[in-house]
Amino acid sequence: MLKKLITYQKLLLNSIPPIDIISQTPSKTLLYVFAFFMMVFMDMFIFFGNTMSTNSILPIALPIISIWMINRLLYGEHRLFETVPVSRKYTILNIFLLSVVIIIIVYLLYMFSMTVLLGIPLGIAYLVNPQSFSKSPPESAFTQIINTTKGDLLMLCVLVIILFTGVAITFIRSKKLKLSSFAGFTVISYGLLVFLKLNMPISPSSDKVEFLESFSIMPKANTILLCVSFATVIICIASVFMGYRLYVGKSNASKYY
Amino acid sequence: MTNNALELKNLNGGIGIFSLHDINFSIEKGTIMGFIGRNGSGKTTLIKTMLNMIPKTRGDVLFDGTSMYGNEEIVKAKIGVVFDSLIYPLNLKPTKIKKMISPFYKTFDDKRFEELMKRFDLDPSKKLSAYSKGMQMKFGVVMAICHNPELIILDEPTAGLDPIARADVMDLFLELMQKEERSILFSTHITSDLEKIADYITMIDEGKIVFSKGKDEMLDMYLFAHIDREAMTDVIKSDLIGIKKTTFGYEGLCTKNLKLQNLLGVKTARPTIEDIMLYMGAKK
Amino acid sequence: MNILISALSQTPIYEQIQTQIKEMVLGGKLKSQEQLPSIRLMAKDLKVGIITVKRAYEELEKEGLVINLQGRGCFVADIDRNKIKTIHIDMLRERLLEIKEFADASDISTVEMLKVINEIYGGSENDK
Repeated sequence: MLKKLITYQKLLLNSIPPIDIISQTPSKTLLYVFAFFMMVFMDMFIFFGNTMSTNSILPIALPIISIWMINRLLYGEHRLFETVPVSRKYTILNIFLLSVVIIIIVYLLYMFSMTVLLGIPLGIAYLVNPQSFSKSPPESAFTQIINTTKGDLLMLCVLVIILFTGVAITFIRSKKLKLSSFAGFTVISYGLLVFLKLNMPISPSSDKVEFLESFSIMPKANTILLCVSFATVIICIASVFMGYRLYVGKSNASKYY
Repeated sequence: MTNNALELKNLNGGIGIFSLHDINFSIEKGTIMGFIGRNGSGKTTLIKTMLNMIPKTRGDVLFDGTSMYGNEEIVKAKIGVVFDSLIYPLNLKPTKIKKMISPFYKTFDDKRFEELMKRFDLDPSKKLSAYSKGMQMKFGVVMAICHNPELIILDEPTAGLDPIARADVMDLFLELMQKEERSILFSTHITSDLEKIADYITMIDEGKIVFSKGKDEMLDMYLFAHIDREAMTDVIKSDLIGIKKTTFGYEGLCTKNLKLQNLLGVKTARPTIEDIMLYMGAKK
Repeated sequence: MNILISALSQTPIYEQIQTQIKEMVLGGKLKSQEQLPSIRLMAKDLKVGIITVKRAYEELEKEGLVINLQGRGCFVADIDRNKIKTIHIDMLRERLLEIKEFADASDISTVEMLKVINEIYGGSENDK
């Protein structure tokens, strides 16, 4: 059973059409670039105080990349995965699994490239001049960890919510409806995050609101975290169901046309 | 037990300009159905809708009596499909592709795979991108039939092949038909391929079925007629299907009509499938 | 079996097969009770449709030249010359009807028609 799963995942991965940058129309490229910058701007607004942490960008960027890939998979010209004899239920579940797999792969690639990009110059610098690398005081590192755990957990939930909802939305066939759903979802999520940020206390380490740290010291952090985790589970299950309904479709699924 | 390998009942579907309306036809087991229609008439849309790659809005598709909807696993295991362009990733080698696909088919025959690769002269150690278009098509055929399907659906499979390669592939299909219950749906532009081997012909135009009949029946029913300009009358015009003006008169199809055949200035001949397609699909 | 099919001929393919087998039977090349190739094998050999071959075999059976045994195959029949004569006369009648249509359309009277027939038959006698 496991072997079949792995083979199917491989099949899905291979069914993703390769990225063809050349053939995009200029207006489309412009739209993509615009959307990209909008997102970066919003992320910076929400998450950045004085310090930048990739822990807040990644939970947003990774699911977006994954959803993008899933979208290309589902609307590719030759959907190889649809020609093999598997039930639609199996396909749906595997697509959701695939979205997670893609995130893992992209994350690993990211870590690897970061290590290479930063590690090599740092390594060379260390070899050349070992003294300039001082040990950081252990207590502050410890408090650092405690301070952002809750924030990290929140971001993990955010990642899962974005991923599962996004994948479910990709199953919508009508382009207009799909895009508006994505837009609506984006607005709602950013809105919620901004609302959350506005209610956050100022971080002690700097004078501004640092999203991850501030969340961790927020008075109602625990309740919020609990609610969000609960919501995450519900959203996951709901997304799979919705995806199933959209993909498998009933004979009167024509309302999506 | 049904006698039909494939049955389409009131199938409606498609997207936008490529939509299908009330498609009804069936393929008898053990026969070859030729599927004709011009570009954009809905051939590929219909095939993809049949396979549930494009959703339907109404109707049913039955493979050997079993509905496709809800039974993909059972049904797709007995179908082999060859599309007009290769669906396998070009950056992989044939053996890798086989390993990726064969686990899903209980009846996949590895030996057959090797035999066919050899027969078609395909090198399994080269990536697909290194194959010529004709070889890629042949590989598509190999992959489609190695699991012993009962129904083989071909969407313009011979379009990119040179005549020798085409004859090769056609020979293989005829061999496959030796098995009692096997059926083939053959969608093609190259109507000459169908002249000899098709048992039935279905024609589609603008998403609707124009006719679905036995090939001999069709060709027996109609005549290709050429009428001198002077001999043309309104009566004759009303008898003709799809009239075309030529330098010397008019051409068209007509039902077998002894009177017409023997009129002066009228020459008739047995139509080819191409004639049928041209004149029955022509705008009236 | 030595059968040649022309796809471009005016004659339907099943008729071509039928005619050529008929010639072989009447000419003695195919003996009585000899088995004809299976429909599928014939179809593959001639590269034609299965239903086409089936039709040819059915037409031959109608003419009384072969017998189709369900599950066993198609066998050359013991030829009843009289029965065949009857069938051929029927076929002749059909063709003559076509000729009559032609004659009517071309305004050729019965008398003129018979004159031509006599010429044709008379002429071949003179050649003997």
